[in-house]
Amino acid sequence: MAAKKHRVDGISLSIVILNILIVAVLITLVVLIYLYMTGKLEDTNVSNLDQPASSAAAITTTPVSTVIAEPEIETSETSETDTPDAEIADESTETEESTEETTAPEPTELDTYDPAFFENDLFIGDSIYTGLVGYEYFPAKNVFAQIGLNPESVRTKSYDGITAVSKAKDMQPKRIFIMLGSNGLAYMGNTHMAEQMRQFTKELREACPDSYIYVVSIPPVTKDHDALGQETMVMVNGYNKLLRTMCEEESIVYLDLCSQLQDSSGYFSDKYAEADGLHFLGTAYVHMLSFFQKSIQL
Amino acid sequence: MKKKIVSIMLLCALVCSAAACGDNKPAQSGSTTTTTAASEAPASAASAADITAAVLAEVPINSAKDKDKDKLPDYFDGLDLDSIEDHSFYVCGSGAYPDELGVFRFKDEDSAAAAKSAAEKRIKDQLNDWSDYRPDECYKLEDAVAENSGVWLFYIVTSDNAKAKEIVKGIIK
Repeated sequence: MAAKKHRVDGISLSIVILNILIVAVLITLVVLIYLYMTGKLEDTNVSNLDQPASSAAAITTTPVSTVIAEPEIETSETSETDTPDAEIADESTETEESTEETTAPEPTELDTYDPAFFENDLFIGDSIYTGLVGYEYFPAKNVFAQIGLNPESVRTKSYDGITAVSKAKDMQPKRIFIMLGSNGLAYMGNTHMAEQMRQFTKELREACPDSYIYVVSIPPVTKDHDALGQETMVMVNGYNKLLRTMCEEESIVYLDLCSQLQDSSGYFSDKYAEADGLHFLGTAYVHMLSFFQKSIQL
Repeated sequence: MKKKIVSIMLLCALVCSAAACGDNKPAQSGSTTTTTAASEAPASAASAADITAAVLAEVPINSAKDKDKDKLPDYFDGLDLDSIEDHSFYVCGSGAYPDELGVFRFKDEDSAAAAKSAAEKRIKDQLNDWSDYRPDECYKLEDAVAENSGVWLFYIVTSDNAKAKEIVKGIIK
């Protein structure tokens, strides 16, 4: 006896179900195609828009006391290899109080800094430090930075009639951070640049006898940038070594920012490096300021 | 009855297919719905931010940082801020490149023309600074754009000024 087939109004039930399934699949495909075409299914491309430090600081800021007092500079013995540990020299002060040596802070993953900590400070540098204003970490009044500036030209070059020394003299900042030397690596000679830095810090001391002066090592370069041969890690390390020696001789605090920005291979970390392998992403400025603040304990 | 149900479902599938085919432009890298809206909106409806977004979607700026109105005097000498009704201005925040992009709408054409002079001075000063520092980047400044279109000023220093200008002019008709 033949099996009865379910029939509904002359159409087999199985055919009806099959048709429904086909239509459902078609509709699903159509919807998926529509979503793909309008980009809703694609991953969002990494934006070139960097996040301003103010938002990062706001999210991660740990309140830090800004009581004005004698800074206690932490020192630590580090090797000459590329390690993330900070290496800081004793600060020379014009006051009667002495500095104390304490244990260097442990590097932390969380970069935090208090913008108010730096509000009376002056940053002197080249195009890299223009990013402090470009990214709006600080207003222009706290920064003297120009593209192409080097340890020699900083002593003489003026912008709208203002030199670095005249700006510092007018401001009488609490602290002065100087990072210069990336421009000049290729053609000036490290010894000459270090000597210019020595003279420049003397001029600043004369103009700002109560200001604490910090000389910052120049940053590393990426492997790709190194390969171009203009500014290489050999040059960077050589200059920073001379800079450190000069600071020791002049009793100036030396802040080893370079090792803070290096990756395990000794090059500028991709986490911090701009596309050109020399300048800073916003993350580098946050890390730098966090490092500065942690290194200068009040 | 079942025939009718199946027929209706097939018809729905057909209608959906037709609707999906109506907008088949592939998404541009980094583009947003704002970009599409800006390129289709008439000039009077598009904001300065819409226009710069449209440009940046096609001609990006590394580490682009937008600048509020109160920061504009840091870049343009003598700019009358009170005459600016709308603006969007981006710079390369890291200082690594001379790229900048600005779209401004002024209250009148005279103000826009005066701002154009400030923009031209900016280009000249930048070219002077960058020619010794990074000559390889100077091409962006050598064919930079500072143009008025009625009450608008657009200022373009990018890796592809011609394309950026084309996008802007396509919106500010």
